[in-house]
Amino acid sequence: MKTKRNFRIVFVCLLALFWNSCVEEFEAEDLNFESILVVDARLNDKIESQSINLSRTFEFDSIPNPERNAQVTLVGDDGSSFSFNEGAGGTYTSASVLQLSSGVAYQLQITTQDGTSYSSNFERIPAPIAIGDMEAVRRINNTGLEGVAIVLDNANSSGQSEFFRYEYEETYKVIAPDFNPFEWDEVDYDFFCEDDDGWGATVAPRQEEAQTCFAMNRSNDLILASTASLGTSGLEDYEIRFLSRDNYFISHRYSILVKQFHHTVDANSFFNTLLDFSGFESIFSNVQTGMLEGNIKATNSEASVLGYFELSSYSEKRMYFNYADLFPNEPLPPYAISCELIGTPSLYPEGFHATLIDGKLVLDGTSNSPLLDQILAGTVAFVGENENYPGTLPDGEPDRAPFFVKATGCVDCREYGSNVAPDFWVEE
Amino acid sequence: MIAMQKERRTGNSSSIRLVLFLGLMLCLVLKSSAQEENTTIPSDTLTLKAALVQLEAETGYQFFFVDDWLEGKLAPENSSNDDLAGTLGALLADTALNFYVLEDEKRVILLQNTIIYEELPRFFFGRPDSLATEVTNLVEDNRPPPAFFIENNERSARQYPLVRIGKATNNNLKSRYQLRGKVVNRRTGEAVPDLAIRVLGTNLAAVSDSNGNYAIELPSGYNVISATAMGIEDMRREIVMYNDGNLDLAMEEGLQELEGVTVEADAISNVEDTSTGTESIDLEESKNIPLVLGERDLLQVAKALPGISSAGEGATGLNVRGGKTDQNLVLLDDAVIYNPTHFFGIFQALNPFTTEGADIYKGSIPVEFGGRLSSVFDIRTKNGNVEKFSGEGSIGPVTGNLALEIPVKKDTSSLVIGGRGAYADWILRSLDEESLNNSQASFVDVIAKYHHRFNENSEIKGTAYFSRDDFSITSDSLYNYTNRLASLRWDHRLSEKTIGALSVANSDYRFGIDFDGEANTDFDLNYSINESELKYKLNTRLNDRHSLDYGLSAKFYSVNPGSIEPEGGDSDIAPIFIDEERAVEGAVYIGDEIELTEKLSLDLGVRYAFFAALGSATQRTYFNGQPRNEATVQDTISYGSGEVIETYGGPEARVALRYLLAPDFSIKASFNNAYQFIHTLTNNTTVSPIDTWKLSDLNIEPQTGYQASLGLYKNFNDNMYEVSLEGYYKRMDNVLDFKTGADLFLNENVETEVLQGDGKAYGVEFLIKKNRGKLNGWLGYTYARSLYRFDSQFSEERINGGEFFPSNFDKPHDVSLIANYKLTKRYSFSANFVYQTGRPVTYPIGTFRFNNADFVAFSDRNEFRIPDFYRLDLGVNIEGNHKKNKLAHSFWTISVYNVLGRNNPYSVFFVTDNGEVKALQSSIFAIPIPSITYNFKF
Repeated sequence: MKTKRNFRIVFVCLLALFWNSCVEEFEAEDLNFESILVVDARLNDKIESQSINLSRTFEFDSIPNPERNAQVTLVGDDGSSFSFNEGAGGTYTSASVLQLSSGVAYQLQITTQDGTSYSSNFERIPAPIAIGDMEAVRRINNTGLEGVAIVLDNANSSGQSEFFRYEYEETYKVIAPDFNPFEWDEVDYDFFCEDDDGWGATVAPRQEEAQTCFAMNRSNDLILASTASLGTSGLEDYEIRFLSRDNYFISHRYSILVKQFHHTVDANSFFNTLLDFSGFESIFSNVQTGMLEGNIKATNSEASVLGYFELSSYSEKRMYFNYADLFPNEPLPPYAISCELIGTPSLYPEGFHATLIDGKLVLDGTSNSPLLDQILAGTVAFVGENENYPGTLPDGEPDRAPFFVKATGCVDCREYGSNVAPDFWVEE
Repeated sequence: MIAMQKERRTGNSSSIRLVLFLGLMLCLVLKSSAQEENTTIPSDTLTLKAALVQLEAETGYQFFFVDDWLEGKLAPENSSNDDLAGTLGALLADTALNFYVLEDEKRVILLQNTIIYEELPRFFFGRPDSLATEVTNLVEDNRPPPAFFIENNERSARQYPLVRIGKATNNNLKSRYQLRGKVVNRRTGEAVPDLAIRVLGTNLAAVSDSNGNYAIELPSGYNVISATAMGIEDMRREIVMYNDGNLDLAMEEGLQELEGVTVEADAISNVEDTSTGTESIDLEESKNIPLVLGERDLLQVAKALPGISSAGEGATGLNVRGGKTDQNLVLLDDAVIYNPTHFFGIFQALNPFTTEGADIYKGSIPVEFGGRLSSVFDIRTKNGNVEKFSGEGSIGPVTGNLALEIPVKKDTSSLVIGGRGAYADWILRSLDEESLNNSQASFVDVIAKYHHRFNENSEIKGTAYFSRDDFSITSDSLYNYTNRLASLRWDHRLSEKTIGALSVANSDYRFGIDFDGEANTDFDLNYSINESELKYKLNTRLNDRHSLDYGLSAKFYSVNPGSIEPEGGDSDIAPIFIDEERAVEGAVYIGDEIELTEKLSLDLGVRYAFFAALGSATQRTYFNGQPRNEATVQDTISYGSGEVIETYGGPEARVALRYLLAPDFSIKASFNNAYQFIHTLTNNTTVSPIDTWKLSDLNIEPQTGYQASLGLYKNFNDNMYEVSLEGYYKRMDNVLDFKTGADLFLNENVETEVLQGDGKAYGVEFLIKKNRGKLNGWLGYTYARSLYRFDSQFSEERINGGEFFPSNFDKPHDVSLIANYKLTKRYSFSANFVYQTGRPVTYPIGTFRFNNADFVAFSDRNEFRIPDFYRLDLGVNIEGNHKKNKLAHSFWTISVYNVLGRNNPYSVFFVTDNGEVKALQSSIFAIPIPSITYNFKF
C-alpha cells in the first residue's frame, strides 16, 4: 500500500511538471528600454474644447513621464487647422472649440522637442449613430452574481458592421448610515493651556450637509463593442456596466452617463489589440505580440510611436434608477465600509499620568491621545457621549473614553462624495 | 483451403527464435502417412487440378489447396497407384507440393514446399541440446550491433520476389539445405565470379567461382541473403529453404566498376544516392536513445538530425530547414496524419513497436510526393510476422504499450495490432487533491495493419489507426483531439519491368474545446478536416540507365472549420457555424532516374499540381488597393454546391544530380519547387493542438516555394564513418502569418486576419556518423537562418515595417550529439546532447499609460532571443538474459532526461497583474526527469 502511494506521488509530480509549475516569474534582464512617444489622441465631433495626451514609455518600475514642449496641430484636408496648447501632465488642449465636420479628413501632426515629426493618417468622422434604449436590468450574471446590468441598444442603418468604444460616468447618492447632527468642534491637545483641564475634545452642531452626498466614478477600461459578430443591425442589450447587488453605489439612487464613440474598424482593432497585450495568458496560448502599429508614424526619422489618432462620432445618454425600483422591500447593499463597530478610543493612553515635580506638572510617558490623534487624522466621527465617563468599567479599570465614535465615512458622507447635488441630478 | 500447421516456425526477425527453430528441426521425429484404399487416376492430358478434382470425387476425401499452386501443371501419366498416398505422391512428384492426409476427417491438405509435422518436436518445451546451443552462440556472435543506426535512405529500385526452394520431404528433414546455382550478369550473360553471398544474421558465406557457380548451406526456413560483388549492384533475396535446391542469380551491373574497393551493400548509399537531404530512421535500432519518460520516439530522433527542429521543448510540429510547421507531409502508411503527437508533442502518437521506421525527405522530395513545401515524413508500419504469434510491450511511468503480431495465414498474411495509453487520468482521479481531481490528461492510440501476400507479384496492405487526446489545461476547459486514418495499398507487378502501387487513404483530424468557465463565455467548439486520397504510382525500369517513376493522385478535402455554440443559458457567446470548405487536389507526375555515366547520375522529375476550391461557399471580394478588413468588402459571392470557386496549380520540378568524385566521395546538387494548398491557422507562437487547417480559397492563395541544395558526402574506413556537408537555400511565397492580435478562431473571414508574406531560409548542415563499433552515434551541427517578411502599403498589413525578421524557430546554431556505448551484450549506455541558440521572442520594452491604465509596449516582432537551449540526457539499457527457455525477452531502459537540470524556457511572456508588469517564463521540464521502462518481447 505504501509503495503504491509513493508510486502515485511520483506520477503526480511528473504530471505537475506539465502544467501548474511550469509558469514562473523571472527577472527580465537585458530588456532594452526604448523611450517611445505615446499618443492618446481621441477626438470626436462634439463641439467643445478637446484634449490629447502625449507621454513617453517608461521603465517597468518607474512612473509615466509626460512629453513636454511638443507642437500639436490638427489639420483638415479642407484647409482648416487647429492648434493645441500644452497644459499640465502632457495634456494638450485645443486652443479653440473644436468643430469637426464629417466630410473632412483630418490629420494630427506632432513635433516633439527632440525635433522628430509625427503625423497620422487622414481620418474621417464616422456617421453618427445615437444610443437607443438604455435601461437597468436586474439579473444574475454568468458568474452567478446577482445585480444590475446597464444595457443599451443602438440602431444602425448602414448595413455594415459598426464599431464602438464606450466610456461612462456614474453618479450615485450616498447616505451615511450613522449620520449624527454633531461634529467635532474643538480639540484641546495642550495639557497645560490656561484652563489647565488637560486634554479634551468638544462637539458642535454640524454646519454643512453630511448625510446625503453624491459620488462620481469614471470608467477607466476600454469598453469595445461591435456589431460584426451579431446577426442584428445594431447592438442589442449590450452590457456596459454590471453592478453587483452588494455594491453600495446602487443603494439609493444611481445615475449613469454613457458616452458612445462610434469609431472605425481600425481604431477598434487597435484598442482590442491593446487589450490583448495586458491580459493574463496561459502557457499554451500566447497572443502574438509585437510593436503595435497604429495610424501615426514618424516622418523624419525611424522612431517608433505608439498610439492612435481616433476620430469618432459622439452620442451620450443618461439614465437613473432607484434601488427600490429593482429591489423593492429588500435589504440595502452593505455600506461602503463596515459601520457595525462602535469605537471607544481612550482620551489618555494607558499608563498616562502626570506627576508634580518641583511644583511643575510633568507628563509621564510619551504616548499621544488615541482619541485626539484619530480625530485630528479625520478617521473617526462623533456618534455619542459616554455617560459613564469618567467612571469605572465592569472589570475595574477606569473608563478612559469620553465619546463613542465610528469611522468617519459611516457618519459623514463627504468621505465618499460631494454634499452638493450635481447640476444634472434629478430626483425621481 | 487453408491448412493449419502444427509446426511452429519463426521468421528471421530474431536470431534467437531462428536458432530455436533450428534446434527443433534437428530433433524432429517424422512419420509418414499411409493409406490403404486403392485408387486410380486415368491420366492422359489432364491438368493437375482436374486430376485432383477427379481424385477428390472418387475417394470422397476433401482436398485443400490453392489454385495458384497448380496453375499450368499437367498431371503426369501413370499416376495410378494402389492407395491414395501413392497416387498423390505420383501426381505431385514433379511439383513442389506435399500432401497430408487427415484420415479421420477425410481430408487431404496440399502444401506448398512444406510438410505437416504430426507431433510436437521433442524439445518443444525446452532443450538441453548442446548442438543447438553451439548454434546459438554462433549466431549471436554475429548479430549486428543493436545500436541505433540511421542509414541514408536506400532506394532499392529492384524488388525481388520471395523464393521458395525445394520441397520438404518427411524422410529428409535437415537443419540446413544446400543452395547452389550460377551467377550471371543480366545484361551480358557473363558469369560473375567472386560474388560474395552472405546469409544475413549469420556468419554463413560463400563466394562464386570463376564460372559463376556457387554453393551455400542455408538454414532451413526463411533466410535473407545478400550478394555483393564489385561492379555489380547489390542484391538481397528472401529465400525459404524447404530442401536442397537451385537458384540462379542474374545480377544487374552496379553503379561503379572500380578496382580494389569493397563496397558494402547499403552503407555507401548516402554517397551514391542521387537525392540530397534524405534521412532514414529505423525505430528498432534507435531504441537506446534516452528520451523523456522512457518512450521510444521517432520524431524526437528526427529532431536530433541536422535541419529538423521544433520551436521548443514540448512544442508540437517540426520545422524542417526553416519551414513552418504546416509544411511537413507526415504520412503513416500512405495516409496523412495531421497531428502525430500526444500531449503537446511530448509524446509521439505513433506506436514505437508497430512502427518500422521513417524516411524523411527534407531536400529533394521524391516526385511521388507533393502538397507541402518543406518535407515529407514517410512512416511505415511493420509487416506482421507471418510465421508465429509474437508481441512486444512496455510499461513506463506514464504509458503502457502492447503490440501483437498475429499470423493469419502462414507465410501469407498477418495482422499487427498495437495499443498505447497513458494512465495519468486514473491517477489524477484517484487523488484527494481537488485541483488535480478535475484535471484530465489521457491519450490513447491504436493501430492495426493487415498484409496479405497473394503471390510473388501481388500483395496488399491495409492500415487503420486512431488516436485521441483528452486534457484540461485549466480546470474550466477540456480539450480533445483525434486522428483517424485508414489506408489500403495494393502492390503488384504489371510486367517484368513495371511495378505498381495503388493506394486509397482517408484521414480525419478533429479537435474540440469544451469551455465551462466562470464568465459568460462558456462554449463548445468543434473543428474537423477530412481528406481522401487515391493514388496510383508506377515504376518502370526501362533499361540499365533509366528508371521511370510516374503516376497520379487525387485528393478530396472537406473541412468543417468549426462551430462554436454557447453552453448554458447564460453564455454570451454568439453561436457561429462556418460553412464547410471543400476542395480537390490532384497531381500527375513523371520522373526518371538516369545513369548518365558511371559517375554521373541524374534524377529528373516533373509534377503538375492542381487545386480547386469548391462550393458551396460564400466568399468576399475586397476593393483593390485597400487593406482587407471589414470596411473594404466589395462584394459577397455565393457559390453553389460543387461550383468551382478558384483554381490554382502549376508545375513542380524535381531535379537532383550526383557526381562521384571517388567511389566513396560524391557531390550532389538538387533543386525543387512546390505548391502547398492548405495552411495552418494559429495565433500561437508554437503549434498547439488547437491549430486549424485552412484550404486555399478566393482570397487565400497557395504557398509556393523552392529549394536548392548542394552537398558533399564522404565515407571513411570501410563505411564505418559517414561525413556529409550540405547547404541549402530556400524561398517561400504566400506564407501565412497573422496580424497582431488577430482573432483567428472561427472567423468567417480569415483573410481579414491573416497576412501572406514571403520567407527565406538558408543553412549549412554538417553530420558525422559512426555506424559500427562499440561506440557509435552521430554528431550534427547546423547553421541555419529562417526569415520572413510581411510588407504592405498599409500599416495593419505590415510586420516590423515590412523588413525580414527571424521566425519563431530561427535558431542559427544547433548541435546534436547522440552516442551509444555498448559495454557488454547486456549493458549499453547512451547519451543525447542538444545545444541550440535561443529562439527569437518579442520582448516588452517598456510600459505606457493610456486611458489611465498601464499597458506593455513590445519590441518589434522577434527582435530578441530567449536564453540558449541545452540539454543532456543519459540512459542505460539493460537487456534481459538471453536464456532460450524464457517466456519473454525483456529489457529495462533507465533514463534521465535533462540531467543538467537546465531550466530551458519554452516561452517567455509578460502579463499585467494589478497594474504591474510581470515577466513569466514557462518551461516544460526544468528538472532532471528520471524514468524507468520495462520492455518485453515474446
